[in-house]
Amino acid sequence: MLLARIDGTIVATACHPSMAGHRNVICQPLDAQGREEGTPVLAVDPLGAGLHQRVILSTDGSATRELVGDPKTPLRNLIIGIVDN
Amino acid sequence: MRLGTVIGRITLTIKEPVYTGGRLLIVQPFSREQFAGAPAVPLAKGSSLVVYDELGAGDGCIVGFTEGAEATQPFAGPAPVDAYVACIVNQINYEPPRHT
Repeated sequence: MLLARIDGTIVATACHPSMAGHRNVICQPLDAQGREEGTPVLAVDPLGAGLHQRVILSTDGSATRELVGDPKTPLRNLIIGIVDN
Repeated sequence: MRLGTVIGRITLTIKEPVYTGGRLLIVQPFSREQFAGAPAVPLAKGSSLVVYDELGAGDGCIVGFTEGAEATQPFAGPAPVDAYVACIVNQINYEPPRHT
């Protein structure tokens, strides 16, 4: 699990069938002090997090496969919580 | 999943049977500057990788690709694939906060 910040979204028409209907966001991983760490990654966002909100990012593929309901999905990153404080 | 730019293609004559039906692309992963709209540089700092593609991404396309175990999930059986094109990106809306 990683702390990250939502820095944007992507639009993709041609995609793996399992991605249809799921929101994909650009997440900037943050370190413990809240500084940017590394390059942004993409994640599925079932919670509807807003721009610049801090989130918890899971890199567990099996949880994502369960969420999208397709055992053949190539997706891995999943937003599992929005940080309040 | 990470973003990258397609910079080339690989053709194989003799190959693993699982590779049939798709093709192999050379993809240069995005740097943070490229998310903000900077053009791809001919010689990037990071290394490029070979990504399996079933969607038909062409040269210069921006693709989202997964790596690791998830890259082999779309295949019926075990596949020697490290990275897989999950989507071809039409539009990137990237707005990092200004103060950082």
